[in-house]
Amino acid sequence: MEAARRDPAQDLCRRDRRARRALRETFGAEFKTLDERRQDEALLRLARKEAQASGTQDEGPALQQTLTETELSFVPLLAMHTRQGFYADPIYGGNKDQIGWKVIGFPGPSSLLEVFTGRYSALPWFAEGEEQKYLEANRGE
Amino acid sequence: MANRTKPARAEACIIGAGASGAAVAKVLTENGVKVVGLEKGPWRGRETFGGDELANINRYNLWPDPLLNPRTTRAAAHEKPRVELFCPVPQMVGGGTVHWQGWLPRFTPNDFRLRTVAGELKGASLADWPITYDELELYYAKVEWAFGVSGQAGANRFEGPRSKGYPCPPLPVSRYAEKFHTGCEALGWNSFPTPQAALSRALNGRRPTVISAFAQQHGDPTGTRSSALNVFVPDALKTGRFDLRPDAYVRELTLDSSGKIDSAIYEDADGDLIEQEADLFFLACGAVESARLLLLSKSGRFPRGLANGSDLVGRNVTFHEYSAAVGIFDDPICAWAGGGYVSASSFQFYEHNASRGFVSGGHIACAGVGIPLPINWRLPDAPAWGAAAKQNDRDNFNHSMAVAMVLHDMPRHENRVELDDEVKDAWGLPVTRITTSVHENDLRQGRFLIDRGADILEAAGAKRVQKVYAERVTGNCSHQHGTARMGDDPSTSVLNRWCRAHEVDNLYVVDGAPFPTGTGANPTLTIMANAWRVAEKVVERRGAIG
Repeated sequence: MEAARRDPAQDLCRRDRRARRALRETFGAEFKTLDERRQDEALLRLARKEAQASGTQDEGPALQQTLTETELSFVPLLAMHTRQGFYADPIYGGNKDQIGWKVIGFPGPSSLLEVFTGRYSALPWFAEGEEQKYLEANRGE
Repeated sequence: MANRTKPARAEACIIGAGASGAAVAKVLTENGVKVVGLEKGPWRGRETFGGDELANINRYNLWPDPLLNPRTTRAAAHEKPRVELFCPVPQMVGGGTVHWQGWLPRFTPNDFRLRTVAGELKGASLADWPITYDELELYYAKVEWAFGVSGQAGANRFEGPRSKGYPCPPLPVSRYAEKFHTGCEALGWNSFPTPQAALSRALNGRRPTVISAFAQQHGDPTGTRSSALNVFVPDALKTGRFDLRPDAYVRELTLDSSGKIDSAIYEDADGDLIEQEADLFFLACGAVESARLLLLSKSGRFPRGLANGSDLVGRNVTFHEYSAAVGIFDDPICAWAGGGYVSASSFQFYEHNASRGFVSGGHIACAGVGIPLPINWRLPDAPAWGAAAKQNDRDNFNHSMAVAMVLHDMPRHENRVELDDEVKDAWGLPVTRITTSVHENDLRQGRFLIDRGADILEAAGAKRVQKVYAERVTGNCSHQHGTARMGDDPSTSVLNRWCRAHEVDNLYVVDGAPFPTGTGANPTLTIMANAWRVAEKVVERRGAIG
């Protein structure tokens, strides 16, 4: 991970070369030429191989709040970066028109500005009648 | 390094501007004491926080960057330590109160005498506190009112007596809190709205807290939550007697010939070393970093570290552990709303009960699953990628919730905070090495609490329930206590009942370090109440200062 910080592009290329080599050895073909099922299988194998090599539990225990990317190897990191791209704020470009949020039903803010100004509220998704009660109690505030 | 004018001597120097440091600053300055505050990290405005899950949760916007501020951990003294982001707490003005949601239950009267209540536990170093709930009660009420806590007095059947209710009624009821109450009621168990560091009504000139989805670990872009940054720091500044210096990393405390602390040597943002003299010194860096600073301050008089003649500094450290039962419901429960922590709680299994076969118990409460926003939300057994992962996200994101526990991990003499022999931080100082292994009691208690959480989910109608047992202490609560125990006996404690070092007359430690036991509840309300108690005592004795 320190290498990744020093030169992210070079580090990514190195990881990519390593992963391609491993896949060629296993499937005798480039990843992009495999069909979807074989691609999944290839990633699964690669993940298993990495886990064996590192000897650690790669993804950390469930509910772990202190998971850091510095501890992940290639496949879990790829999966995490994919999640980040798809579900992060649309400002980064991967969650275009909130498509990631729409498919899972997360009514995120229309913009980060809405969060900063305090206009974004989650109260409509509280228990029945709670938003109304809260607004009445705080009328004028 | 340039030569700088040495700053004027202060009456009091507080190191750390989080929950406890800010509480002490408020009480001292409001009583006429001139205070210099030295905070290692930056003083950030609310515009630097906000609704960006990627920046805040995944890119260390708030947590210490593990490459600049690493820690090492190991399970036993013979193991090679590995670098790990263990027990991260923001290092900045406001400290842990910047990243938290702020569950603020009171400890119960028995928390202050667990050794007496539970007896001796082999392999653990249980101890009673030198103070009682009754001695602290007044300060609980002071903090609840001055800091701003929303809750329902009397709703927690296991709480000790109170002199005063909460200043604000509970926050609105989330759908996941509703499920929790339903489950508890069906089982005949007591439940209550989790007291929160937030305002459900305007208070002390502050407006009600904005209830967003981006809360826990996001910082507060609206400035409406109760935090040291939003409340106690501004209170202290208003007096004109608080000189708070951010980016001031204290490297060492130096002694005068009488054995009192003379000065704090800190490095500022330009890399200049500055000496700050003061009559009194308050360590408020969090239990891990406060212990580290004591251990870094070696001298002829204290070769093992300041105030550490007893070799107890850093020992008996406890961290809690967070884990949960996770339930899936047919109806949408939106456990991301309110950041997943506008919750309901139960102390039904908090008090010690010998018939359960383990010591003590813990706080159970409902929450979102993990960090409940999309990136970091994930069910325990779900695949991380592929078509099945996507389907799972679609099906369960809005239908899942957790019933979590705060594990009361047992203090152990050999669980400790030390300086690492090899790893240094970006400033060239040895980092903290944490040696910690679980006691069998922790595992048993954890399984029991998670089982009860699963009971609640099932009783509330969950169609599927999974249990995630805690297998070790990973520091995932970001709670830390015990590294400088308070007690009446200098051979078994570092601090006296006023949190003053037995061995150094002008040194106080006011964060979680003085806690002899970690208890099974979130610590920060008690940290602030205790800091307030200590500060008031110092004010009372002020005639003798200097």
